Amino acid sequence: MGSSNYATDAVDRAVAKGYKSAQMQRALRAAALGLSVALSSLTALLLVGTSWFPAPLLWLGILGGAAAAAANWRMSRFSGYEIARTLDRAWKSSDQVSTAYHFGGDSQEASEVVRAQRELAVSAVANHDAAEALALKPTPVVWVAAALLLAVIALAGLRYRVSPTLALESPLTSALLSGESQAEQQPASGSDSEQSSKAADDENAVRLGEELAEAREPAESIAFPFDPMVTGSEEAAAAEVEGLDATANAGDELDFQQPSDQSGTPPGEQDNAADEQGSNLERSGDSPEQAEADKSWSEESNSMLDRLKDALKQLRDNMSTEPAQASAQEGSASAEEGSDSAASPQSDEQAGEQPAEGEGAAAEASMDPGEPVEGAQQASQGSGSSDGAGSEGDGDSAGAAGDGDGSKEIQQQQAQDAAFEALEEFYLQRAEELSGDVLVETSNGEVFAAATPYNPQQASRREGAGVAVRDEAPAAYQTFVENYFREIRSKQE
Amino acid sequence: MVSEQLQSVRDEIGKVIVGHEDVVEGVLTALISGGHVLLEGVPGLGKTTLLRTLGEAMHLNCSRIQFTPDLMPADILGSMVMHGGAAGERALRFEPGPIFANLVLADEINRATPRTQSALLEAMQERTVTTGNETHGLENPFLVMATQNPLEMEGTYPLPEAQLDRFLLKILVPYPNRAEMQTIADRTMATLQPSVRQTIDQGQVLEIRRQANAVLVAPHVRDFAIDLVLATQPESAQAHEVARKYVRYGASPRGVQALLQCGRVRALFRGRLNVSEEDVRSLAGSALRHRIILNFDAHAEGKTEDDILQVILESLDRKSSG
Repeated sequence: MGSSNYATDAVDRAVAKGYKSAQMQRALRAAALGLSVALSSLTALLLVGTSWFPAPLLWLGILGGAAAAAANWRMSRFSGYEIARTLDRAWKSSDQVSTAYHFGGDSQEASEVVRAQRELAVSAVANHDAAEALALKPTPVVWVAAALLLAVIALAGLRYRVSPTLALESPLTSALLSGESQAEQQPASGSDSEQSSKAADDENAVRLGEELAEAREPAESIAFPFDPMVTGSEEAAAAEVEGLDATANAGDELDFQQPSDQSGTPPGEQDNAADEQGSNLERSGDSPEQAEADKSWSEESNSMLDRLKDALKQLRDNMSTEPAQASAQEGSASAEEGSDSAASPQSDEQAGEQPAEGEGAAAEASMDPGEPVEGAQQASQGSGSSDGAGSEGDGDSAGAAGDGDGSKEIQQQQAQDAAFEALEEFYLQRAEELSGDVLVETSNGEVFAAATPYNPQQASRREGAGVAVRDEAPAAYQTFVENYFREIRSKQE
Repeated sequence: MVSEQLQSVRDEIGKVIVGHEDVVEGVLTALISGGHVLLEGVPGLGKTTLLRTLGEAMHLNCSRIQFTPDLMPADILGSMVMHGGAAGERALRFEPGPIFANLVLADEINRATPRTQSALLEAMQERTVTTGNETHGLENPFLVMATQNPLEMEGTYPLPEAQLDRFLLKILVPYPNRAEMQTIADRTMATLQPSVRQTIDQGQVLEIRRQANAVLVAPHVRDFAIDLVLATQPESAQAHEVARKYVRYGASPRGVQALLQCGRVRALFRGRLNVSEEDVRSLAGSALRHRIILNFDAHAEGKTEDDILQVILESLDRKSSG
């Protein structure tokens, strides 16, 4: 295909020139594709950081880009004949160039027609330039590569602005957010001299408080909290969660106006007292408005703590009510015994027997101070069968609440499936036992008139009666046949 | 130059025939390609005049056969006639029919019985006529220009698809437009009738045919013609979806032959020695429309063979340009 001796006439020269331009276009396209793939991975790295996009993936992307470029280069191969065809389309030369290129014409063996046709093709090529016909045009993939390159430059600039070391660990958004917060903190501390002096005062106060605390309790080097109110609230909340028996102490600790008589108090309270002193020292350096605001904040914190307690109490009530009901329903006789014994709650064990009594009793017992859960467990261990029922409801109150509904549905479904299987077996067995023919009568249907647009004649259709043999009915329809017979028998009766 | 000779013939025909450039070129293409042409159009559009003018311009023998239901094969082919010699002896001698001419106009071919049609079509295909024990060859060049009237179909015998396939081209003869009608009217009222000059002779026609057979066909042009024909075959793997929907029988391999052979002549008309895709594209209608049999859905929806071919050509163009 094609002549081997280039540059012999204008046709081959034009094709060779077009071939070079097409090769450049091909190389540009392949390079742009590879660059796009590699830049995509780099863009991902700059966007999400190495925490989400590990660095080896970048090398994988670069390798993938190289592979894509090589594959594109390999798959987009073309021949000189195809270039000639492209030139024909561009020049609208009625396939003269491609035909001349295909049949040659510069050799001695070429026939007269081939040579004549080549001369015609040369005249058609004369006024055209192959480089113009196959000019280098940016394809979409080139634009994509350019856009990705710009994106990489922009992202790298953003990263460099946030962190000059170009640390790529965190995602760009978090890096930007942290950079903004730092930028906000820096000008605020530099501009407001009052706040800086106040911060210095706070530091002095904290340092003084620490020294005082160390002087009082050198053995217990507990970290001095910055805000004793918050610490007191946290301790109180922790105590609530543990046993709900430390609220009174926490409330006492939260009272900053209380005198700090620390003699004979537990070590924890001593710490809190030291904290109070430190906080008082802190407040000594603050303005009266600040102290008033702190006080109001502490009151608000107390009210929130009360709400939290109420919420926890309601939650425990709800969790203990349902098992108590279940236990009460299961053994009413034994529950009466439990009620007799629970009528006079003298000890923690008796208080633990209260869940057997019924609604609300278990919840009240559990919310009593002094390890109510343990008391309930002791009650279940020490009492008889009724106590055992009550202890089940009390100990696994949360599990019983979620487990009861699901198991019930599953049991109902299993029972329903078993019933359906039994019914199906019954029907199929009965259907096998039946034999003989069954006449299914159908009434005559309506008469429809049909006409076609191609034929003015009309036709009529009628549905007639038919007979169906009983054994021909599929097994899946046996139940319908059963229902049919049942209906007939009921009518006869 | 061949193109100049063909152009001179077209100019001479243009003196008599107003418009119908495509029809004239199609008839000339069929003549040079060695095929036959089926013209479909209403009466009065100058089909007989075209044939007579073509004969005068090329100095070729012309004959006209009006097909009727009682026309017999012998009326076309010829018959054995008893002749008496000077010495009184008598002998049967073959008297050639009107088919023995270079240009034969088979007017309203669908009015003859299938037997007569078959005799004509056999002669068209074999280019010989056999009577008794003798076989007579037809003249070269030989062109049958058959016409069909699409309006009056009562009492006609439509040509079977197998016989339609033997026509190289089927050309639709449209009505002339207003300007052409004015020219026709002026020429009718003129006192001096135009005379047709002989431009080429029978030998030159055969020489042009020989040159046409040497016109080059590039592989992609050949593949384009093959793709076009395959796309019309509903059972083909390369069939176009519109062919699968509306075509009962697609074009046969004779379609590819007709496309390429006529493309060669068309290239000669335009002074080229190679067939282009444009040649194939422009000849697709006339070369393939009578080789495609539409199904009932196409008739019900008013689709024609040209509509199908147009859709297929557009899809092939998109494919080749993409």
